[in-house]
Amino acid sequence: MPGLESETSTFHVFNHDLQTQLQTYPQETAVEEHPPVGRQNSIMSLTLDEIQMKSGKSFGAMNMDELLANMWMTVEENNGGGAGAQQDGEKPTIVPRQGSLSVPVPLCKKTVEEVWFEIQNGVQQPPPSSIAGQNPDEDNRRQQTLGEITLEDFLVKAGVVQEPLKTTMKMSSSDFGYNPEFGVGLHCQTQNNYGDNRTGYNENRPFYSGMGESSSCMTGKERSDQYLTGLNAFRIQKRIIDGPPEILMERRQRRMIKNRESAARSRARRQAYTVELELELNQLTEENLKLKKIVEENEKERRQEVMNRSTQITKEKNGDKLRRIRRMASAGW
Amino acid sequence: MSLSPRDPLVVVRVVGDVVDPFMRLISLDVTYGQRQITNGIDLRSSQVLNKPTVEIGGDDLRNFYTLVMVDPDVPSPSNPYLREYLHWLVTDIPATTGTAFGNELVYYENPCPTSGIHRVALILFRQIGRQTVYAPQWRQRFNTREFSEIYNLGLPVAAVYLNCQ
Repeated sequence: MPGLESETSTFHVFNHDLQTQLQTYPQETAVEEHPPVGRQNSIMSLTLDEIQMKSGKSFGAMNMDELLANMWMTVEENNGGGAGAQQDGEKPTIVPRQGSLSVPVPLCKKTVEEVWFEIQNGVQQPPPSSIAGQNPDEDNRRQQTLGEITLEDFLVKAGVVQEPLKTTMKMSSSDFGYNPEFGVGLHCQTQNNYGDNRTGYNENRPFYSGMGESSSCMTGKERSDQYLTGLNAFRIQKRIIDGPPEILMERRQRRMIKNRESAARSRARRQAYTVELELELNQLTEENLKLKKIVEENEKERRQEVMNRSTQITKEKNGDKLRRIRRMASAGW
Repeated sequence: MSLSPRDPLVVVRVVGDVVDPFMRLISLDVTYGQRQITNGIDLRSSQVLNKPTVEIGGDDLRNFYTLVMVDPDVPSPSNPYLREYLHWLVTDIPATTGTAFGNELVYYENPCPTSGIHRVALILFRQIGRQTVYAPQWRQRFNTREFSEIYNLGLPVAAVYLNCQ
């Protein structure tokens, strides 16, 4: 059912999106999930400026490789500070495996500034099919300077990271830990540029979202294995799974409306049947009463008949007796 | 007796989707095999394979009736864009008799819904005279109201429906 996939909450790695998703699915345990998310997202939602300040380094002239290395280091530092109490000296599980995130070759040697330049130019030719409502967003992003762009946006645009993953909200926080680098790392291994990323990801998506529905407690490792095997397994579905939020909402609403109508029909059917049964019941009890009355009346009549018959007979008998007696009497002297 | 708003035909929207509110004037007994059809009974398509025996009431043999059997939920109750599908049309049924004595203008086609639970309604009209009703060209997109208007059948005099899946 098309509705099911879109109904599983879209689970975003990134902070700001997570908020909106939480609002649309109030039934999910939003409060529970937020804290672990917060930690993971922290680096992603920071702007490049902020990261630069935190780490004390300047990213502009770095290669993409170096950028990523610095990124993870910053994450480590952050987590080291935050999780120090729990995991003394151990590397927290959330630190991503560096091997899984590798920038594709064409990109990795470029400096951050070059990549940014390309992004800006690339965005100049937006696809004509993009929805009108989105264009203002793109314009705004375009106007951001390199420093103002958040890390996530930068990575997305550079083609290193793909659009947010969709999985069920009910993941445990340990599963969660695998997610970021999981999604990030995987498609990096398969694509070379943004265009390819998109198609590749869409191929993976149907499988993944199908999986996501049924496996709320799969471990990250399991998922990664399945994800890898599912990579080349499916063709692009006609359905837009990763589309603008308005279309998704619309689709969800349509599904909901259809569901309501179906439920209403089902209720009507049930009600009609019970009403019919009640009517029949009344009819039958009425009939039953009538028939019983008739039976009773018949009985009465018969008894009457019998009574009459018997009185008649006795009368006759008396009559006979008298006659006999009279005859006897007349035969005397 | 006129239809109450709690009448099964109203609740399930047969009165509404197929016909207008009417008064039940004569009896209509439909039997599939051993099963007497009461409103809202659930049947499977295998149980309605063959045409039912239909007996109608009334008193004057000179009155003729038309029986229409339609499915308003084609192809699917959630999207019935082929509403209605004519399964059976029998005309010139004399009162107190049954469809066996009538004229089967559209032969019985067993309902076989592919999607969802369909309502299947049997509706009885009174004709103004003999041989005044003719068959439509197609079964699908049949419109009972229109049909009744064209052939001057007026409002139904009896109806019953079943669910089929």
